[in-house]
Amino acid sequence: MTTALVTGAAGFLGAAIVARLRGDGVRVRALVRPGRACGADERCEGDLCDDAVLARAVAGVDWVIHAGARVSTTGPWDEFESTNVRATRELIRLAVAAGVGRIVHVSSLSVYAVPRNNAVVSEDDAYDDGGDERGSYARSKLLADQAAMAAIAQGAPVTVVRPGLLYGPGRRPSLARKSAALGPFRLLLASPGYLLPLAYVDNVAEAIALAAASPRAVGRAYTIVDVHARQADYARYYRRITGATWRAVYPPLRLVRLGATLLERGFRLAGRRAPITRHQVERTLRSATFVTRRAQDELGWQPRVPVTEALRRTLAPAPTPA
Amino acid sequence: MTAPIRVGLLGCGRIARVHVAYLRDLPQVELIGICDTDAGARGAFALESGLAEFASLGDLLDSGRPDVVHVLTPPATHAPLALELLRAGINVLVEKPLALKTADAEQVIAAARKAGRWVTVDHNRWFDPVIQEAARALERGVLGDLVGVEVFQGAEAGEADKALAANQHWSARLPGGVLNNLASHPLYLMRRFAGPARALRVVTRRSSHGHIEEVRLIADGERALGTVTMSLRAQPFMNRLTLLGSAASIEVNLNNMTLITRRPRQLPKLIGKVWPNLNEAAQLMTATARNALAYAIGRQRFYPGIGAHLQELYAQVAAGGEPPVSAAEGLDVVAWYDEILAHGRSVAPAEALAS
Repeated sequence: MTTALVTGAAGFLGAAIVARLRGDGVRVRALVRPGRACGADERCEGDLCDDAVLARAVAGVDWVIHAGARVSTTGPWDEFESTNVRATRELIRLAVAAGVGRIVHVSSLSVYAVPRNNAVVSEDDAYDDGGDERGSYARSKLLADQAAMAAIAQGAPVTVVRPGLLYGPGRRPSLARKSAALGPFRLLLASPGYLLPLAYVDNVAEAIALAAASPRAVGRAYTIVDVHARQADYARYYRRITGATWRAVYPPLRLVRLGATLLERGFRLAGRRAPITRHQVERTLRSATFVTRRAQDELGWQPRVPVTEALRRTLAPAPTPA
Repeated sequence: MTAPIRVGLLGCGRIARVHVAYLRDLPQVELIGICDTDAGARGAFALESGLAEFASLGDLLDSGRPDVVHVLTPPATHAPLALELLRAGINVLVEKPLALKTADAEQVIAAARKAGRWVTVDHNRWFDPVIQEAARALERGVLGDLVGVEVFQGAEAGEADKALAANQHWSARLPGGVLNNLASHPLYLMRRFAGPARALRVVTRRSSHGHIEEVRLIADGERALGTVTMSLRAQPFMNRLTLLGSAASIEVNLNNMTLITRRPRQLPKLIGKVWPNLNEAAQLMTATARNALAYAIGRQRFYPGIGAHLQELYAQVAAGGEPPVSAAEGLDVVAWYDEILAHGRSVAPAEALAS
């Protein structure tokens, strides 16, 4: 019987990976912080940043699925660096030393550069180089991805999976980077034509399970996106399912970008970080199509849960307990 | 009121959006949903259109229970999908061409006959308003006897090169290359006006890639001689139809949706050099102004022929009649294209050098 360690098993994606692997007959050991619930066969409690914990966690497993990360939007850089970058490097090193056969690192689409609007981006395209402007989370995920790819270059049996905008019951894709209610209207800081690279949590979990099991996936990176949904189409579907009555209003983003630039300069003079950066607005103006052909061809992956069904599950109000 | 005609769509590409937009205008049609094996394309279109998505053809048939399915997928899949649908007892509209090979088209037609269902092809340009205007003029006798039909089909600059270079778009991988994607239009237009052909002559020239890029086809039609010119490289690209009549002739510019009628006039020699040009200019000005106004007020949309075709098709079907484009017409277009490929091979420069 195959055994797998799943880090971040109590998290949104981690829990789906655990359920998926167990459904496939894999015995799952979960690395979780003390006190966190998870549906695995075996628990291993501790901190990702603790090498002793990692060494204990990887001992005797066939696969390591690394879905654990610090995902908050705020906090000191050191914490992102140690949890997301250093722990990834250490986990891979220790897993290789322990003779683990397959390691899947869960990365993010945010690692890719989107050089212009309507760009077509595939796995071998360049990394983003936005640096500090990207925010600590995105920057740390970029460095973690680079660490995983560096391990591949050293011959480690690593696969990198880069999912799109993760969503599912309990986590709705946001309607916009920022939004504000204005009576019957809702101001959405987004471009109506922007393409949301939606990735339903169960579809991503399936891709990860396929990547772990497929011999072809060793040393490969895979983009996982179900659907590129236009922002305006998503907002319309959102209203339809939730019964929301507001009407979407999209501000002229070039003006917003100018505003963000000025804001950023002002805050910089005051020695502080602006609440919204020009880089963030740039990204809402620049959407891309992320090619998933490689996952389809090499893993046989298909987003099995159709997007309309996945969004219905995600957006429908929770049934009231009887 | 009779039950609505339940229509489903296979294929979620660009043309599916056009079909949905026009189908929504038809009161006798109920759109039941869309289907595509590419979940990404299907999902994006489902969110955009608000239509139900079916992950497989089986799902579409079982859950959607369509009366008619539009096959809007790449050409290589037209015949296999049409066969599957007809065998399941569903009526079928296929985007052009009906099939890639004559034998496949014949098989589709046989399956339709056997199932007691209809199959039709979206020969949309026949229904373009400007082509219909020419057809009405011919019918009214404005042209006198029809003696010749000339159709010119061009391609946008770089369209062929781009598809070939990337080899990405499905059109680059069709038999004969990108030409295949354009060839239906001039062939069915010529057949409509000149009639079914009793004999064909074809000469072609290929590019260094081996793709056919120049075609001259002459048909001995039942009503008139027809000629088709296809040129992938001539620029600026034109799509033109000329009807030569014993009393007058008509020239249609399909790109700009204009029509000029030329009539012989007994004029003094000097005026005779000036008047026809002024007359043509006036006709062009009028048609251009009319088109601009029609677009501005939303009376004219893109692919008007698809809208008019679907309107006529469903009016006929609702009344128990036959589709306005016969399967035989679809078959002829496929057979003529096969003929072009066969002749193309005999003059391919690469092969000529090798022999």
